[in-house]
Amino acid sequence: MDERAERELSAILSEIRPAPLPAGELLAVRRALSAEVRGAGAPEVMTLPEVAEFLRIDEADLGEILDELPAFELAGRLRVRRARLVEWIEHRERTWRHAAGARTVGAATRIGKGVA
Amino acid sequence: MTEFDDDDLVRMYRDGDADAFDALFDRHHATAWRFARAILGDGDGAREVLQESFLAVARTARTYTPRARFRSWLLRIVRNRALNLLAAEKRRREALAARGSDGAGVAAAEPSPADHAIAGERRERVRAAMAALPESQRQALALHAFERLKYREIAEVLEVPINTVKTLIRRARAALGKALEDDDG
Repeated sequence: MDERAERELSAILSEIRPAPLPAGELLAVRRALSAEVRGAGAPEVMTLPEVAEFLRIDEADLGEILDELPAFELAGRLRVRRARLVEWIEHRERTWRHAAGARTVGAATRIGKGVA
Repeated sequence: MTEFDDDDLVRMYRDGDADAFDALFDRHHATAWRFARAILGDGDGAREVLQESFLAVARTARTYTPRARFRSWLLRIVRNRALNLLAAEKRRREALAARGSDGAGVAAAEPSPADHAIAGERRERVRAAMAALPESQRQALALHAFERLKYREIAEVLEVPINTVKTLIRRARAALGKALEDDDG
């Protein structure tokens, strides 16, 4: 292509650049993302009752895991940041998978040795 | 939020600052949208890919490595999702064709109302030629011509060497240039 044709092509490419997403649709996308990012209903800093509700366990059972929770103290009360709680859950998931894998290997080893 | 770079915003979001995520969205949604449109051609699919891509960012921000250039990471996610949607659409069309259906295929690149108003024969030739490019050439050209990305960043997005990017763009422009030459008669 000669220089004139290159310039014309560059100009046309600028003209056919896709138009922006319409404002109404952009707003819909923002709202959907906001629900995800802000955890639709779950506050960023949670009280212990809110943590129990988030974990779907009784508040009384929280005592068993209190030492493990990524909590911090504020004005004499414990609080937990939602992002840290999610990380803590993911850590427990990985630990569980690792243990599940070990249990599977252990079971296979016992079967191999003829142990029921 | 304007004084924070992308890596700062990702770190802030990881620490629980939802507004930092909003700032990342504000900064990059237009680029992500245009790239999705360049791959898919139609607006509905591009909107779906835009939303899914940022959802993926929200959910996997912990896996992002600072210094990895957030925009490249985001556009790789957009590309993967758009290509998945394209593949799904292709399977759907093939299934419909096998049943002898007249189901509508993936829309070709849709001119905007503004383009209809000022549409020129040559502009439409370039648009059609771009839609007909091999996928990798179209993506490389879109990132270079529409987003003004440097070769290095395009290489990161497409996960190919820089020289491959240069070749893809050169071939794409040659094909579009030929479309204009054919119009000259």
